[in-house]
Amino acid sequence: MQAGYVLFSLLAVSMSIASTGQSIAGSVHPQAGTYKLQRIQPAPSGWVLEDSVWLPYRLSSYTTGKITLFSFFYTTCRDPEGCPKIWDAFNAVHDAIKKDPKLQGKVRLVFLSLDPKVDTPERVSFFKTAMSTPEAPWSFLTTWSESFLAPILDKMYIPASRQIGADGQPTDVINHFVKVFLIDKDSWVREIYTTSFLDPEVIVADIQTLLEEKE
Amino acid sequence: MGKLLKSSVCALAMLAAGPSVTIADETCNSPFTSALITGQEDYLHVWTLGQVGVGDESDKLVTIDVQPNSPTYGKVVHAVSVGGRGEAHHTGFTDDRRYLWAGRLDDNKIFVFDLIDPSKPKIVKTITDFADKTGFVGPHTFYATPGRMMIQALSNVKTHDGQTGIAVYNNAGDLVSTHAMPLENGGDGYGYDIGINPAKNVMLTSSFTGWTNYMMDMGQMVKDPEAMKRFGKSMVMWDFKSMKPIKTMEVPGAPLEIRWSLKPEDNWAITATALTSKLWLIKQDEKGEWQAKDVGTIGDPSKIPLPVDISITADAKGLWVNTFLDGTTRFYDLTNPEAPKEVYSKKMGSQVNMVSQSFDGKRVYFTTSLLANWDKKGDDNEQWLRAYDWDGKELVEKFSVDFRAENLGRAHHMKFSAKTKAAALGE
Repeated sequence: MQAGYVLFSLLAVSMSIASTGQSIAGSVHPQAGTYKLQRIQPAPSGWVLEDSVWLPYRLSSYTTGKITLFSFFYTTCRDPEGCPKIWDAFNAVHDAIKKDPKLQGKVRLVFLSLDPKVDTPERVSFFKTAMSTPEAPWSFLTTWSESFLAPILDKMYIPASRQIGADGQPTDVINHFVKVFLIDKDSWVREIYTTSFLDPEVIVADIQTLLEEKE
Repeated sequence: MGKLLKSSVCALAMLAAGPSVTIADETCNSPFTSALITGQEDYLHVWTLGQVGVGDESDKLVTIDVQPNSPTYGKVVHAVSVGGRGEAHHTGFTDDRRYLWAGRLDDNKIFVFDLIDPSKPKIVKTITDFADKTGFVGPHTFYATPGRMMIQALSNVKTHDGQTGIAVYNNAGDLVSTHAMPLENGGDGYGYDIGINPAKNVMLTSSFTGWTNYMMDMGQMVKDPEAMKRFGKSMVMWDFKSMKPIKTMEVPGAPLEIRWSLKPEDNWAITATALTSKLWLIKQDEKGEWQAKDVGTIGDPSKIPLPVDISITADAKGLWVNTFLDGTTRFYDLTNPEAPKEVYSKKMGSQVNMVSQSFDGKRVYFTTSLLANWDKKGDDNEQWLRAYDWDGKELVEKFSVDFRAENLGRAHHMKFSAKTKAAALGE
């Protein structure tokens, strides 16, 4: 029930942003397939949890074999410039995949929680049930603890920290750098988006560009 | 721009604090830089050239306390020598703002400092094979893009002239790609600065000169007609996504620093030309084509005041312009960028080069060194950092650090940092 409320809240914020926001780069972005995306860095390794049975999976099993759109989130994030903005972009890309047979089955979406203490496997599995579709699978991952999460964040150069409250103690507010990673089927990061350049049309064009690459 | 500046950090607490929170930070960082400073900066880091007979004679990163409430306000609190003199020049933060990359134009070494504790920067990586891997010489501009550091070089390993390019590294320090400056369609192959406008998906580059000139004694160079021909005279607009040139624009006289208007609705950048002492505006015309336009002079061009660093205000209504040879800073009213007006000037000393201002424009910092072989000689070789308050009418000095008296060297590029009040995940 609580997870359902959170999901509703996030989607509501997301829809609100979509209705007032504007495309920042779509009209000036080059046509898919006319440019090259460089191999920036390997996707990181690590261990993650996906479902309520608490079985460990290698993170690499979520970043190989298909093109992967990957980002970090946490379910209690409320900053409209943070996680909801990522949700907004992922929703738009998810819709685009569902509508385009050329993309279906070739792209997955992955969210990894920044707050393993709150975002248990049971909690995040609710989101998978609500959001994932066969033609556009969407995984919601978490970890056992922040000590398993921190090395993954470090390798992806995502600073994340808990806000310090008036009592000098860490709060449940997590400051994090908003980044979305596009990873090819060989587990190489090929593009990184921040809020300065987070446009679903650009992401879809980049996915199409990767799909057009010759083996 | 305030929205853009804070947009990369998910921090409900910042929003909860309400509009009284002031977004600050230096105005000339890459738009992809996150974790920008809110309010008063705590430290200023000065990338400093070692000087023979001064202290340990080594290049170093000098950290100065600029927090007015601190007992060490205006004092050097840390200095880390990197060994040798390799023509220390510019620096740039990674997109996460944790690491500061600092380059040397002569030996091509790049030092990566970790600023997790900004009061004590420490070297975590040194890139020593920049020239071997890229073919370029003189890593000048360090410009963060998501997960990467874009490095504009000034020269090349084969001829040491001005033909050069851009190298892209990932944040771990591995080379990702190289991109030659264009030689066709009016391109002269030179490089200097980078400025990206993400909303327009464009990258603008400028052009200076190669190793042979920037390592030559300035007095010798200006007497050499052939050497004086070897300066850039173009700016290139690129499609940032594809890294392909869109248009080369003729901008004679070595256009240097590029400052895009920070207002999201604007579509223009401004630069200053070193040799011709001009301000040039780069803007889209009615058809959407990028055009370069001479919009004014700086000082008396016939006296070659040598414009060097410029710094745009956050509201894009003002521009600081330093002229090296007459040691003067000038403030221009940029309300109409088509017709900048000089509204203030101040003689800073025998020479002045870099200028950095806080986001609210109230604090302005200046340093003196241009290049080791271009700095003035003898007593005219003043080397200092000075901090001023600016009320829109007058610069009021707050403190000065004499880099020679402090045995530090030649003061060059500046970057701000601040203490953080947060607990990193997993620690």
